[in-house]
Amino acid sequence: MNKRALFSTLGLVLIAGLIGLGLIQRRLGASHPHVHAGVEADARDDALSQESSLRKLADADDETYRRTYDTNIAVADPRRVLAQNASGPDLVTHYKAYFRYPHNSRPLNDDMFSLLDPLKIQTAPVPVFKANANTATDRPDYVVQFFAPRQSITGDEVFSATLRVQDANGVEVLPTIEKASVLSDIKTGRVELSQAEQFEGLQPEEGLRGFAWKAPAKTRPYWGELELSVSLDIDGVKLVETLPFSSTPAAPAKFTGHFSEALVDGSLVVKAELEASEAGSYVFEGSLYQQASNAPVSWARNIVHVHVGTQNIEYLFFGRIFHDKELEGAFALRHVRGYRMNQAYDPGAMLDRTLFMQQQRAQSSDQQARALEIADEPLHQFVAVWPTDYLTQSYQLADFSDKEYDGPDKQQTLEAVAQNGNGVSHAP
Amino acid sequence: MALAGGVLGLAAISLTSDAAAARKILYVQGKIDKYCYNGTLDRCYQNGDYGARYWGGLVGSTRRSEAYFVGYNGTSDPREWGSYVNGWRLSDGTYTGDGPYWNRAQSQIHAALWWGPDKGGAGCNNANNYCVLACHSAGCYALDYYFAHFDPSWETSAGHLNAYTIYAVASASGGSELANARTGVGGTVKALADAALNVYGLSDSWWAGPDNLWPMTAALETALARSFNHDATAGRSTYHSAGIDSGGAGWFTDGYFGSRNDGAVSFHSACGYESQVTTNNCLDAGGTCASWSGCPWYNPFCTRYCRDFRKYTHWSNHYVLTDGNAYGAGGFDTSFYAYNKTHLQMRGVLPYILEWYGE
Repeated sequence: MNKRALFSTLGLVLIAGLIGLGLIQRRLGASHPHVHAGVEADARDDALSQESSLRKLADADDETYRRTYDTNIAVADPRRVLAQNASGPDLVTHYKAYFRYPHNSRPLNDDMFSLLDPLKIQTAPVPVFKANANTATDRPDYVVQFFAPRQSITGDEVFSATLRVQDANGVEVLPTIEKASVLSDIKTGRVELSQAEQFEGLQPEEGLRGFAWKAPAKTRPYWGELELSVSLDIDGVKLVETLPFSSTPAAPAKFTGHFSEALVDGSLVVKAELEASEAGSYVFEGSLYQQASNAPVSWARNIVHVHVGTQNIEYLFFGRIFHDKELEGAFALRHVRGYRMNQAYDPGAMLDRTLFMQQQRAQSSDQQARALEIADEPLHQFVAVWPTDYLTQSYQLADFSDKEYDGPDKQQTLEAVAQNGNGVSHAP
Repeated sequence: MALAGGVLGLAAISLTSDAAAARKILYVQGKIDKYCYNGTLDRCYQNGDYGARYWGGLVGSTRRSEAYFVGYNGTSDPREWGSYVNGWRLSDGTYTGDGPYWNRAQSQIHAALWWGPDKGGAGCNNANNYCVLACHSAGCYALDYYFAHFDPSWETSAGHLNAYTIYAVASASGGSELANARTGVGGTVKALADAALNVYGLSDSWWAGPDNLWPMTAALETALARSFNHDATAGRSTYHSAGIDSGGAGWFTDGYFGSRNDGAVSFHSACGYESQVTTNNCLDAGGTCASWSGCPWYNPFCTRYCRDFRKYTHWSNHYVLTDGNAYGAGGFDTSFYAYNKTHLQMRGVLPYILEWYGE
C-alpha cells in the first residue's frame, strides 16, 4: 500500500470513526470534551433541535410553575416582577391571585425552606480572624457555624446544637471548648443558668462539637429567648459564639395526639386535640404533604382564642390547592405546633380606644400589677411540637372543591385597591 | 367620537375621584436610642428634647397632610406589645401627657392603624381612608411580625383594614449579622460592629456590648428575627428596596462570602429572602444561569436560556422593587437591584420610591 492509499484508508477510517463517534455521542447525550468540527456542527444542529424541544418543555414547565405558584410570583419567576414594575406593582392582579386561597391555608412549595423545616434555627457561617487582621480585606482564618435542629424546646425537651469550625481551606478543625453554658433572656439580665452538656458530633458537615441542655426548673429564668454561649479556642484564637433559642419549661397547653379529619365544603380539615392549662391567643401551624411523594401541599396557620380545657384545633387545607398542585391520595400533616402569645391585654379589646380605656381604668390593682409583670415576661410560650406525622385517609382530586376562595375580605380588598391602589403612571 | 371619548374620560376621572379615599402614609421607624410617639409629627423624645427626628426632612415634607409617623421606644423589642401606662414615661420615671401610651412597637402600630384621628391614630379601618405603610430597618421587622400575628377577628369587629402595601427600605426583618456579632467579645468578629460604629459615628450603645444590651439589638439577631413565619402576611404585600453602600465599613460578607450589605443589614434581610443566604443581588441574578439536566456541554443555549435565574427564594408576598430610577433618588445599580446608599441614607430614598410608584 502506497502512502496515498494508506492516508486515504486512514482518512476513511478516521471519518467513519468520527461519524460513528458522533452517532454514539448523539445516542449517549455527548459528554466528551473533544469533538471534531464536523461532528460539532452535527451536534450543534442536534443541540438546536434539542434547544427547541427543551424550550417547549421549559415553557410548559414555566406554565405549570406559574399556575402552581401564582400566589408567590416573586418566587416563581423574578422576570414577572421586572415586567410588573414597568408600571408599578399591579395590586388588583396581585390580590386576585393571592385570594385564590384564604389567609389561613396557603400553598407550600418545594423552595420555601423556612417552612419545609420550620423547627430548625437558621444560621450562617461567621468568619474568625487572627489578631491584627483586616476584616474588610483579609480572608478569614476560620469559619464557625452553629447547627440546631430545634429553635424551641418545651417542658423536658432537650435543646441541642453542634458547632462546626473550618480553616481557610474548608478543613474541619477541632476547637478546644473552654466553656459552654446557657444564659437567661435579656429581660432577666443574661445571667448564666447552667452548663450545657458536651458531646461529640457525628456529622462533620454539621460540626463535631455538640452541646445539649434542658431546663432544670420551670421558673422564670429558664423561660424565654435564652442563649447558648460557647467559649472556644481555635489554635490560640479565643472567642465566644452564641446562639439564641426559645425555652418554655412550663407548657401552656399540649397536643394529646388525637386527630380527626373531615371534608368541609370541599376542603380538608384536620382537627388536633389540645389540652390547655392557660387561656389566651395562640398561633397554630402545620404543613401538609402528599404521603406517597412527600410533595409539599399547603401550610396552615390560625390565630385561635383558646380556653382552659380540652378543645380541637382546626387545620384547614383549602381544596383549590390540591387541584392547582394536582395532588391526591393520602396526606401527612407534619410539624403540628403552636405558641401562646403572652400579652398583657387582648389586642382585640384595644380596637375601640374608648372601651379599652374604660376597661383599663376599671382594672383592679392586682390586674394592673399583673399586666406590668407580663411586660417583663417573654413574648411566647411554646406548645411542644407533635413529634410524628398524622396520616389522613386517601382522597381523590374530585373530593376537593376547585373553587377559588371568596369572602368579604377578598371583595373589600379588591374594591379598595381598584379604587385607591397605586399605579399613577410614571416615565418608563 | 373624540369628544365623546373625552367626555367619557372626564366622567371616569370624576367617578374615580369621587370614589378615592383619603390617602395616609404611615412611616414605621426602626432602631433608635429615643422614645418616639405616634402622630403627624416626626418627633422623638429623650431627656426633655422633643426635637429629634427619625426620618429627616424629606419624608412627609411634600405631602405633609398624608404623613403619619408610627413611633415607639427604639431600643425595645419590635415584636413587643407594651403594657399600658397612663402617660408618657420620662427619664426620671414619672409620666406626663394624656395617655394611654404603650411605647412598644406592636401596640403603637395597632393603635395607629385602628384608631381614628380623633383618638390619635390614622384610622385605616375607616373606608374613607386608604393607608400605605412605609418602613425602615427594624420598623419593617415590626410590621412583618404584626401582620404575621394579624387576627382576622379584628376586621370582623372593627371593619376592614384599608392597608395593603408596605414599602420597606433597608428592611431588618431577617435580622442583622451585626446584632449577632455584638456578642463576639473574645473574637475579632466584634470588629464588624466596631466598623459600623465608625461609619455612622453613632454612640457605643448603637450595637451595645453584652453588658449594655438593648432588647432591640437582641431581637435583631438573625436566628430570632427569622424564628416566626414571615410568609404569613394577612395578604399584605411588602415591596423591598435595599441599600448597597456599606459606607466603607468593609463588612466581611462583602468579600469572602460574596454578599452585600448596607452597613447594617445584609441583602438576605433587606431584600426579603426567606433564608439567611449570602448573596450579592436582590433578585440573585448575579450568578450563572442554571442549565437543565441533559443539556450537552457544547450547546451554547444551555447558558443562554435561563428559565429561572434565581437561586434563592423570597418570602411569600415579599417583592423586590427593581426599577430604582425614582425621580431624584438616584444611584440605583441594576446589576444588584439596590441603591448605592447606606442603611441610614435609605430613609431618604423612601419618598422618591413612594412618588415613583404612584403612592
